[in-house]
Amino acid sequence: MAADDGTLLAAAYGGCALAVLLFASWWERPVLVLLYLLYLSLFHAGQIFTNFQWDYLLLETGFLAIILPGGSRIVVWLFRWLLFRLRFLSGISKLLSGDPTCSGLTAATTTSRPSLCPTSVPGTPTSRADHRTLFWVFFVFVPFQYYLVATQWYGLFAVFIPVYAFLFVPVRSVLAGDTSNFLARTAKIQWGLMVAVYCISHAPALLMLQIPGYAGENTKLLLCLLVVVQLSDVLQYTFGKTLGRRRIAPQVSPNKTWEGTIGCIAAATLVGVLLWWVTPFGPLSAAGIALLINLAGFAGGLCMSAIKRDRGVKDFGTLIEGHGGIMDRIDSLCFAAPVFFHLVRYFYA
Amino acid sequence: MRTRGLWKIDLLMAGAPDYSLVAWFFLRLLAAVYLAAFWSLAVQITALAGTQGIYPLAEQMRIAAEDHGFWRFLTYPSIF
Repeated sequence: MAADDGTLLAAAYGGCALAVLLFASWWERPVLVLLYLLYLSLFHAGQIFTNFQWDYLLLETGFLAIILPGGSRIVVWLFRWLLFRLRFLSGISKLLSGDPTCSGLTAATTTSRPSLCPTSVPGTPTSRADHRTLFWVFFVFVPFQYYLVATQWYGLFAVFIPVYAFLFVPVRSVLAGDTSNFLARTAKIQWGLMVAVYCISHAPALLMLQIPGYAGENTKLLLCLLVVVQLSDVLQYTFGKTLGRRRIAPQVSPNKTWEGTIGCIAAATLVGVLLWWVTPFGPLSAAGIALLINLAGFAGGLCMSAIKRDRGVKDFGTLIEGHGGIMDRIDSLCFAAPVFFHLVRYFYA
Repeated sequence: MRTRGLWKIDLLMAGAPDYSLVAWFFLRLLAAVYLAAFWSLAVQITALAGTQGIYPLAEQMRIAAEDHGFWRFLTYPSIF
């Protein structure tokens, strides 16, 4: 075939169209063969630019997939072999990369260190006894809290973590038999549960509110909350530092000034007012609610900054360059979500 | 079991004795991966291997044919 631009583009966009056909289960086997041949051709055409691990992986997976429809267990075992080689060789390449955290088998600890997890924060009182408590936290309390949201069981949703989980955590730790630094260890797990599980679960819980005349539109409430709080957060991140001189909490966030913060909260509140028509609120109530959740969000940001100061880390993670990890993005939401939830529940549901 | 059509709810309900349900799901996900892969190539391939690209495909073909003659298809399998 010709090797001009039109042919290359036809091959690439033809591959897109065939992928859609495969998704819709039309002519599976012939489509899989064509997809494999097209990708193999483009893989060679791209030379070193398509010479990555994912290209090989897709080629081999695509080849095996040709014999998958109605196939035998042999093809299943070939896929398992492929998966094994992928994981095994990825491990080998990490070990050979020369990174001391990889060759010393400490990469997982290093990565999870700036998190709220008490066993991984340096300088934190920890104990092996906490591992069993944390098992309950991660594998029982978190799924159960969201089960309560899904089944709209408000009564237990409101008290399960602050009462029962909070009582369970010290009991499980003390049964494990270690009483050193008991209060600090217990409080740390409880604090993590409160912020990262209980408070945040109020955001999806908005979907279970039954607001007269607003049935089926609760997702818009969730969207409004996210837009207003995240906007306020981003504005404070970008403009909060350049405006004004009087600092709010020089010990915690040296860059936050009264002028910048008030300006950003006012702007985010204004956006909340402009969104009143998608909510069950009137414009004036929307202003009040937006202001309150912005203030709560600001308080959340300050408290989480204090935790980071206390633990000696700048960010909780490295999800987005310059913005830290997921906890840095949602710290204000942790405080704003319960406030928003209860305001809406009290006045509108 | 033959799988045809996009939503095989009946397979879910019946419970699959073999791998047909997972295989069906696997192929749908593979389709999504293929779509992303071809799409990303579609926006880049002319700059990489087009006539004005970094390493034009026509030139690659000519060199491959000079080196391997008719058997280039063995070392350089391609529909182009």
